Order: sequence, then C-alpha cells, then structure tokens
Amino acid sequence: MNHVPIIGLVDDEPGMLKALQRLLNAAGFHVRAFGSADEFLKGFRCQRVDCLVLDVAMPGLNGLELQEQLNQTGTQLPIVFLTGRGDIPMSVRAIKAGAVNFLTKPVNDADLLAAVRIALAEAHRIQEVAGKLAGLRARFANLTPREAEVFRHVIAGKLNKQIAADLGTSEQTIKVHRMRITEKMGFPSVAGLVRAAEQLGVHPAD
Amino acid sequence: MNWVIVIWSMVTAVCLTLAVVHGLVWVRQRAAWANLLFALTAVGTAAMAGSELRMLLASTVEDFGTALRWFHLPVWITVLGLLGFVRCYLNTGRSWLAWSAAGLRTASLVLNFALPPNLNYREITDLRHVVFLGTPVSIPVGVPDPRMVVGQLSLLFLLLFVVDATAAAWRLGNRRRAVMVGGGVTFFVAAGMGQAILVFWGWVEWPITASLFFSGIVAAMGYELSSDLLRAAQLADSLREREGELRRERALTDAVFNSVPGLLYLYAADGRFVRWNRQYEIRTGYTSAELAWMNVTDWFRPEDLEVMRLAWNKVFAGGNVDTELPVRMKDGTCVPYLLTGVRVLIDEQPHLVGIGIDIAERKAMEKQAAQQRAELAHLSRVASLGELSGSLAHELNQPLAIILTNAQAAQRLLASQSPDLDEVRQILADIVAEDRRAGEVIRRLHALIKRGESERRPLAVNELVLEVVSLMRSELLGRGITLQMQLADSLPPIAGERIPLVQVLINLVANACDAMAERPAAERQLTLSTHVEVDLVQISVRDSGCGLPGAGARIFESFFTTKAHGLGMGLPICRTIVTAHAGKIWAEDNADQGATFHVSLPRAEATA
Repeated sequence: MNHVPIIGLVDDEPGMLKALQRLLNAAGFHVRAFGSADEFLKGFRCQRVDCLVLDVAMPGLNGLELQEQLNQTGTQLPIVFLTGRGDIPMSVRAIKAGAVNFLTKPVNDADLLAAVRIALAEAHRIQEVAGKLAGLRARFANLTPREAEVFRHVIAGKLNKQIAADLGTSEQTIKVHRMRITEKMGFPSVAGLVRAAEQLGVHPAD
Repeated sequence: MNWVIVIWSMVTAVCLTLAVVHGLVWVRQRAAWANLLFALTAVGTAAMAGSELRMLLASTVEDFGTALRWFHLPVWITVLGLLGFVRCYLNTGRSWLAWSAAGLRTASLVLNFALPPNLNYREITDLRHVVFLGTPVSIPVGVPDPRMVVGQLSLLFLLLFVVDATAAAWRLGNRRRAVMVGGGVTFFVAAGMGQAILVFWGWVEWPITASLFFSGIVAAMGYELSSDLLRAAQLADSLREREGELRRERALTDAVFNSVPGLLYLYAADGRFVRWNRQYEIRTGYTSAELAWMNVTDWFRPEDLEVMRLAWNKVFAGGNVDTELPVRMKDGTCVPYLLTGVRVLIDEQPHLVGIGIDIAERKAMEKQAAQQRAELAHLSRVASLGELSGSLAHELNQPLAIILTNAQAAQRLLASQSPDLDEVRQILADIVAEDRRAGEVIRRLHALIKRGESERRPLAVNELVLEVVSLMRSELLGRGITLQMQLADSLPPIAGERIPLVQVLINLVANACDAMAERPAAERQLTLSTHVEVDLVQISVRDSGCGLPGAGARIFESFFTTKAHGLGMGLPICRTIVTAHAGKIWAEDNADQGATFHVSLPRAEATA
C-alpha cells in the first residue's frame, strides 16, 4: 500500500467514538469518525477510508443496513462490526455479507487492532485486485473493435481458420490480429486471455 | 215510727262509720292528718247527736240538764277537729282566728262544768213538750246564763276562720275545695250558731238540732275526702298502668339495645356514661357497676383525646359524626372502632347517643390488602426488571466498554516514547465520567427493584416520562423503534409514588414494543405525550403495532395475555397501581394503526 491507511469509525455514542479514535490513533492509525451511518454515507466518498469499524445498534440506519447499502452500490469496504449485544443470527448475517469480524463490546484492544489489521490487509488485497483490473481494462480498451471481436472468438477456443470463416476474412489477417492482441494485453497464452476475459466480464463469441 | 230516734241514730251511725273509715286511712297513711281530724270531727258529731237525742227525749229537768252539760264535750271535740281539718285541708287561714276559736271553746267547756247545771242556763225551771217530726220532744224553759256568750263567740271565731280560709283558698285557685269544704262548713256552722243563739236565749221555742247541722258539715267534708280517696285510687291505678307501659317500653328498648351487635351508648353533655348495652360488658370487660362510673374520656388514649373532643363538640353543635378511633378495653388493649354520634334531648338536656362498631377485622383486611399490593408491586418490579434487563445490560455495558477502550488507549499512549500527557489526562477524565454514568445506572436499577414503603410526593409527570425513556432507550434502539415525544409545558405536579408509576410506564412502553415487533422497521413509531385536562394529568403511550386484541376491556384482567411467554399480569398490576393513585387507565385502537394507552392521574392540589 502506498499511502497511510485511514480507518472509518461509525458509532452513535460520542464517548465510544472518542475512545475508539484514541485507541486507533495510539496504535498509529489515522481515523475518520462519524456519528451516524447517514453522516458516513454523505462523507466517505470525498474522504477516503480504507476500512470501517461500525457499531450495529444506531438510531436511523443501523450498522447492518449500512453494510447492505454499501454492498448494493458495489462499494467494497472491509467492515469490523462492534456491538453491545450481538446475537448469533446477527453475526452470521454480517459475516455472510462480507464483514471481516463481529466483535462485542467491551472489546479488548488487541482483538480490535488485529481485526482492523486484517481489514486493512483485505482492503489492500481489494485495492490490488482493483488495480490489476484497472490495468487490464485499460489494455482491453486499447484494442480496436476488430481486435476485440477476434478476442471474443479466441477465448471461445476457436482455431484461426474457424475465426476467419466466421468473420469472412483470411486466416492470415486473423493471425496478425492475434499477434496484436497478445502484444497489447500482455498474455502470450490463450489461457491467460481467458482468465483476463473472466475478470473483465467479456463473454466469448458463439 | 219515731222519726227522731231513727234520724238521730242514723246520724250517729253514719258519723261513726265515717270516723272509723278515715281513722283507718290515717292509721295506714300517717301523713294523712286531714283524715284523722275528720275522724275526730265525725266522732264529735256522733256524740253530739247522742247527747241531743237524750235531751229531746228527756222526761225530767235534771235529765235534760245533765244531757246539756255533757253535750258541750262533743261540741268542744267537734269544733277543735273542724278547726284542725280546715287548716290542714285548705292549708290556709289565719292562725290567730283558729287559736281564738279553740281558746274560747275550751273556756266555755271549763265554764260549762264549773257552773251547774250548765253553761246555757242558770236554772232550768221546766220542760215543755212540742211535737217535732210527729214525735213529742222536750224543750227547756229556764233562766239563760249570759256567760254562754263565750261559747257562741267561739263559734263566731270558727265561722270567721273558715270564711277567711275559704276566701284564701279560693284566691289560691283551690276553688273546688273552697266551695265544698269552706262553703259547707260556713253554711252549717252559721246555721248551728244561729239556732243555738235563738233557742238558748229563749227567743224561739225549737228543739236543739245542732248535730244535724254538724252532720251536714261532716257529710260535705266526708264527700270531699272520699272523692279525694277515689281520685287517689284512680291515680294509683293509672300510675300502675303507666308504670307497666314504661316497664314494657323499657324491656323493649333493652332488648333493642342488647340486640345491637356493636356498642350502643348514651352520654350526658358532661361526659357521664348514662346508658349502655350488654355488649359493653362483653366486649370491654368492665362490669355494669364499673361502667356506671365511667366518663367518655376514659375510653381513649391521651393522644386520641383531641380527635374525640372535636367529634364530641361537633355532635353537641348539632352535627352527625362518625369517626374511627381505638377504644381502650379493661385489659388495656386498644381495639379500633367506628364510632357514631348524634345529639338527642332527654328531659330537655342534650345527650349524645351513638353506636360503636368493631372494625379490627376490616383494619386487618385493609392491612393485608396493602401488604398484598406491596407484594404485587414488588413482583411487578421484578417483572419489569425482566422487561428492562436487555436495555439495562446495554446501558451498563456501554460505559464499561468506553472505559476499557479509553484505558487501553492510555496504556498505549504511555508506552510510547513521548507520551501526550494532556491526552492521557483527558482520557482519565472521560473514564471517571463514564464510571459515574455506570454507577447511576446501577443506582436507578436498585431504586427500581428495592422493596419498601415509598411515600407520596409531588411528581413532575414529564420527568417520569423522561426517566422511562432513559431506562428504555437501548431497548427502543435495539428494536429499531422511532421515539417521538410531545410533552406539554408547565404541567401541574401529581401526588404519587415515583417507582410504581415508572413501572406502569415501563410496562406500557414494553407492551408497545412487543406490539410493533411484527411491523417493518420503518413503521415502528412510539409516541409518548403528556397533557393536562382540568384536574387530571394524562400520559399517553401510542404505538403503531398490531392494535388491541378483540377482547377489549379484558386486557386489564389477570392472566389474560396474547403473548406466547406473557404472564398476563402486566396490565392488571398497572391498573392496581393507577387505581391506588385515584387515577384511571384505559386503551383504545388508533384510527390508522396500533393502539394508545392512556393513564390519567389527579393533580397534586386536587388530591390534597
């Protein structure tokens, strides 16, 4: 990770919010604190956070609902839940929806910091994946429309001859296109291209 | 037939009979001096009649003289008896007249025996015979002795005395006696005296018939005395009858008195115990003789006398009173009684009559009911503790979590090479504050489940609502319920016990939460509102839940529940508590969704 990680804190109890902020600061983290889920939704887009320490029981939108909403908008944010009284169904629901951990208050500092570190690692992983995908996308966007067409045929496992027949062109032309595609995408093997297509969500041609 | 013998004998017999009758009356009633004096007069008259008969039938001058001499003795007796009778019977008359008459008569009697042959004549020369009532009778002829004027004066004084006494009796209003006795005696004495003067001075030739006139007096006196006797007998009869009635009446009132299951008493205005029923002896242990000496104040403890005196004075001011006071028994124990009193006039004197009812049992039941209510209240406290436990655990957990996190943050700060001590100080201040908050939660919890008497005092309703909200905040949060409060400004205080009323509200809020469990989170609305309505302060708990079950009013009955794990005790306990505060609790379905529970309580001034 090439920047200082920032941890988002959401708790409706000001005393708790302050205490958690102090603990995380003392452990060397940067923290952004929010008094409610709504406040967080408004602020987090312009103020980057890498992971979230989230209280469950809050007036207005509660923690689980916030998680749901983030998932729906495709925001991948590792979440450590904190709750005053957690029950098993609640924690199962949170973990299933992708939470890193589900801790009950009062929480031991070591447990919380461990969970936060895991969350940050997860964030790091997500960011890496996101970074790779972004590169892949840029490379894919570099292909001409004809090359993209050929790409879909290639990942469908077709021979050059078949592709040429499908596209109504010569086998030689296809060969040139394939060379260009391999060059631009940086994958010498068909297997590499297939994996990239999966990541990009590009469907093979019929 | 010799009418003279018949008449004079009859007069003698009648007079003697009357003398015996009235003499016997005197023997039986020694105070009846009138009867004795009458008997004396009658005896005198009878003897006069005897002497007269001898004179009328005398054949020689000597016979006549002796008879006339002895005639003066019964006259003396008769005059004295008459004087005494009139004095005694009319109870009036001048004494000096009576004494003069008596003195002159006695003097004439002495002269009569000192001067032979008698007072009336110096010498009786002859007897003349005239026919009287068809019988030849003797009339004396001789030289009248002027000294007989002494005897005639005595008769005059007698006459004066009787006339004077009669007039006085008439004036005093004793008219019947004045006419019968005074009039009779006056008439016949005047007639007798007139005849004596005319005959003895030799102005008229007429046989001596003085006893006939005196028998008239005796008849008048006897008639009067006998009718007195008759009246007395009638009076005695009616008195007996009345006494019987009184006895029956008394027996009846005694029976009524004694059939009263409680105490029944009659006191004089000075506190004297006048009358009581048998229950007094049975219940208090005092004997009738002891009760007779008791005063109303003897029944009460010194500290109760003030209350008793107020009630006592109120009764004698004309009011009806019933008051509850402990009554002291003979063995010193005090039994609570309900005592009543009304004023009643007996012989023009004000008295107090009333009953006392033993209310020890009722008091014991009241105490037991209060105890049961306290038990129930405690039970409900413990029950509402169950409702609260989740919320309270969270309330306590929150400050503990904050303390732990702060403390660990401080530890980390201090472990660093250049610790920020200002930050550490702030952390410690926050720790102290949070610790206090935790302590407050525990104190509140303790107050809520503590068993014991709590007193009524003025309470601000809005504060009660806010206390409940602070206790239930986490519960509401955890259940995703949106709370709205509409608290009226400047509500008057109510008089009540804080903890039970808080319990009522906790119960209503908890019920509201349960009722909304099945609703989508966005529709879980709880509204707490207060407002004042005349003398009542009303608290309303409105939810958007499932509404009241069809059973309507049954929700306040014990063991009625719609909850899977409910006891059905919550609302009945609420109603018990609210009713004990002279308030009302009721529920209604909302027009749109859910139900509203209302509690109305009288304001503090209104109950005071």
